[in-house]
Amino acid sequence: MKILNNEILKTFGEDNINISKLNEHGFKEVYFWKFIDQHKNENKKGIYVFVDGDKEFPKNIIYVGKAGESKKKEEGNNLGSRMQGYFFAKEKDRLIDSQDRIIFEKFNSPIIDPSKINPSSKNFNIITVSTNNIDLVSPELLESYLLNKLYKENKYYPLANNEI
Amino acid sequence: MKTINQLTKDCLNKNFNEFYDEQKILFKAKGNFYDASKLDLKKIPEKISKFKGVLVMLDKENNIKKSSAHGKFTRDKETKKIKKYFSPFNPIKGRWTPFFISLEHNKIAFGYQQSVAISLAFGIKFVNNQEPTPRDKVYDLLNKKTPNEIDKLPIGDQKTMIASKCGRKVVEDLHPNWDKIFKEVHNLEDFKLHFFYIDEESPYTPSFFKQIIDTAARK
Repeated sequence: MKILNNEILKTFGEDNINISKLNEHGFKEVYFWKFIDQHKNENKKGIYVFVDGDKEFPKNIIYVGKAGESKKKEEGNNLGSRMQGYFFAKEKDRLIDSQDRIIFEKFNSPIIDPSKINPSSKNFNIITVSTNNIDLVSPELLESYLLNKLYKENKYYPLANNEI
Repeated sequence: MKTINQLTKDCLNKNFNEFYDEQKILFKAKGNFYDASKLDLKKIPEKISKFKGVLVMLDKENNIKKSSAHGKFTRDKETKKIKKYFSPFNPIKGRWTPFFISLEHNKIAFGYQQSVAISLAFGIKFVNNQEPTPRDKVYDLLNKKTPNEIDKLPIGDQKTMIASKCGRKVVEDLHPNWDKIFKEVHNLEDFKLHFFYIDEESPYTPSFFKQIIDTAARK
């Protein structure tokens, strides 16, 4: 996935953003919650991308979302808290169904039916791009950049996004 | 027009004036840039009367006061398919939120204060988490429903219905009170209004170009 590896780093500059991936060596639920908690603790702003690894680029991109706004210096709205909102709470134990597929609780738009988006957990991945300087590289810019790259250059509109 | 990557690099690395002037030249070369001060209001081009793109409002010192994007690719609520066309906006006919432009009164205003406007327009008070009052005025305004039906609605829904009655025409008629309704009111000639036309076929969307402009200006 060229865009989320070299291309985004080259465009925005390695000093300005960091890329982090949930699933480098196979999906495990414990790593998933660790990934969420780590992002909550770091309180970073940026974008998160849900990826269905069973599909080829660009159809593997399920959703691109943002956490934080350049104008607001709020504390709570970060990559960890925003990502967590798409899944059932940890104690409900409903992250994966009986067929080893990821269960989404909801997406931002009521038009998107979460029950119809259920990638296999084996190859499910989350990629985050966090900003090191929100006044220069804002989450809004990162989100719009990636959605435009997907739609305008790759003719692809992510399944769970609702406006570009 | 530049590619998405090149445009992004430029907005991050070039100084604002250099970047902005270059964009004006590039858009102008394609017939896609308009300065409102140079428009003949009797012969408004279709790209303005049905505007899609980014409207940039600058003060006399060339600082961006606000930018707004017009045109998004959205999903149809019924079919869930991506709509192929943007809904254009007519800046001459007007827009009143988040900014208000009135060519008739030669004014531009920022910082709309909904509760003040509703109080002045309808005599109805909006207080956080409380039912709008007085109730007889609420019932008169929302007269398509009975008082009993209105009382059963959540406070938020009542407020939304009242707010929807306070449209552009109502705000326009409150012209003598604009200094109370808006945080800032200026004469239109104190601002530059630049229209960057971006349609569905462009290599990037209005939302993306707005982010690019805002980033370049924020540095």
